[in-house]
Amino acid sequence: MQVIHDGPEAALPDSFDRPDLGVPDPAPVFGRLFDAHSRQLHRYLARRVGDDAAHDLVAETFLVALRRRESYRPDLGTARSWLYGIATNLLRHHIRSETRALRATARLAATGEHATAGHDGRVAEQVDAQTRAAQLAGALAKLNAADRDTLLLVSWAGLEPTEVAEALGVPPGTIRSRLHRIRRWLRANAASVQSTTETAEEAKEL
Amino acid sequence: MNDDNVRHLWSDAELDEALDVLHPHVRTDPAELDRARATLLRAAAAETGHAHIASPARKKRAGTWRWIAVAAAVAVVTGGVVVAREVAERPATVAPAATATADVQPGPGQYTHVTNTYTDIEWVADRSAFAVQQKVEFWIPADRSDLWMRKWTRQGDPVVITGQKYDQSSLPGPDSTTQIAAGGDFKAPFPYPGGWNGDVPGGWDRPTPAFVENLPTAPAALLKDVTSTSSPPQRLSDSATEILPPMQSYPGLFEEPTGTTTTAKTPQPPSPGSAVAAYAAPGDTQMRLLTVLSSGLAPRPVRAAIIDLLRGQATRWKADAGTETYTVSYGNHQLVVHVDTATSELISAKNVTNQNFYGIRPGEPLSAADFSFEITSEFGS
Repeated sequence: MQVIHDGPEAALPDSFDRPDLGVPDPAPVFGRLFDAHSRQLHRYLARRVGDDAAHDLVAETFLVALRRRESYRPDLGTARSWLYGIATNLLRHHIRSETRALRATARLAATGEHATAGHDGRVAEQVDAQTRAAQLAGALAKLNAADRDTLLLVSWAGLEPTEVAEALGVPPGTIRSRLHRIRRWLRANAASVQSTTETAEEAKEL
Repeated sequence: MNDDNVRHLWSDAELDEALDVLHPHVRTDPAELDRARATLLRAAAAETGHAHIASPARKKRAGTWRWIAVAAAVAVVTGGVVVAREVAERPATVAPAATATADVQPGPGQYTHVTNTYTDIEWVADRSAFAVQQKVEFWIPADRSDLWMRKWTRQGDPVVITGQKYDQSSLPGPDSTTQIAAGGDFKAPFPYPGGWNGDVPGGWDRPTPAFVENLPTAPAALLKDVTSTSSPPQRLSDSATEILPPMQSYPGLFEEPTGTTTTAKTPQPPSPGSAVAAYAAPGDTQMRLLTVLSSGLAPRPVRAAIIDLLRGQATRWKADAGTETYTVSYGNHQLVVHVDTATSELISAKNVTNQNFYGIRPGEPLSAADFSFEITSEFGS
């Protein structure tokens, strides 16, 4: 399974990986957390809900984390997992816009707007990849939120399954089996997911 | 899900490649991250009362503000008595609020006249929405034990946002109502901004003159006071479902003075649940702060301290000549607060939706309120 990283996310010592957030002055530790994770968190969120919303969500994630820092338990997970868990919860407010964007991308596959024919084999491969990406978008829109979170926390955020488990508060075994099920379904169905119900589904949302 | 369709089976590599290619173009704005970081650190400093060390200009405190998105107008609405504060002689140049000159108070026989012109959305029968511009005015006597007046007026025709036009006629109630009471002790229902009556105890949720007079002026002390108060505030956003609907909990909005009550209520959009609600938030604290600020009862040092705290909540803020604008984002909403930094007065607030909300498009306000304050010798005109 390919895990996409946007540059190195700092290799952190364990004391910082699981910091004590209950210190009297939280500013230094939260400053370090922000520096370590904000950019990667933004990239992940932006791929899901767009740049602008992602900026807001990053800010909100850290403010929620600060306010609820007493709820962080280092023995139960890394600070990164905890932050992505907060961000995942905040993303719930954007489900409709996210799925709408995914469907819009999927429509490209249906209309073939981007599939300009190329004589060069490499171009053709790129077109194939983009076609598959658009098909995947339609399939992701079909997933429920928990499944989509699980898959994308691994594939886009670069979290390990154990970290996803920490972030979502479910057993690691559940995450692994869920990932296996999601990927199996996507491999089998992404290419054939139809977008015929998009309009009706979007209409229901409004 | 099923695995029946294997004709187009992708390999793991193809799936990973598709994941790699999908939505890859991301633009991270370093300035946005810098702002977020600064906000975070100010909030952290305010948590410990070290704001003056970490950020001399602004003291911060974290908070969700989730209640604010319930309705921008609420910020200036749900507080008890709305009272004016003289701002007739606003300095022309930017001046730190803390060093501004003292407020000009109404003299004997004069009144402070507060005008709150607000537009919000009223729902009728869960199916039609109208943008309705309304105005609430208060005349507060210099001697607070004298007669007060409050007046509400519906202005212009409601603008249909969604639903059927004929429903306009079903907007309930009269077009105007006026009440007078000695000492501001109103008894009759007044389901509009500042409509709480004497049966609600004075406090952060109903900032009476006596209560406001005793508020501290240091931001840290003010924050401590507002967070330590034991009386439960008006709950606007305790449950998950209260975050998305912007006006569901608008207290008393649809209860008309005539006694008729409409069925108007913001429909519940399908919600997967609230993430923010999972984190018990001090949103009520911010509610109280903004309620006192909007009341106009607070003297300038208290207003400056409140604005300092409010600024600390913002995910974005912008400074112009003599004013500042704070944008607070959460969930599907943005609260935009505009203040006069020279006088430490609230100028306006609006609640903007980030997504299509029953026909209201992203970027459009769900509610908005503008304020003006003046000293007058005319009672009720």
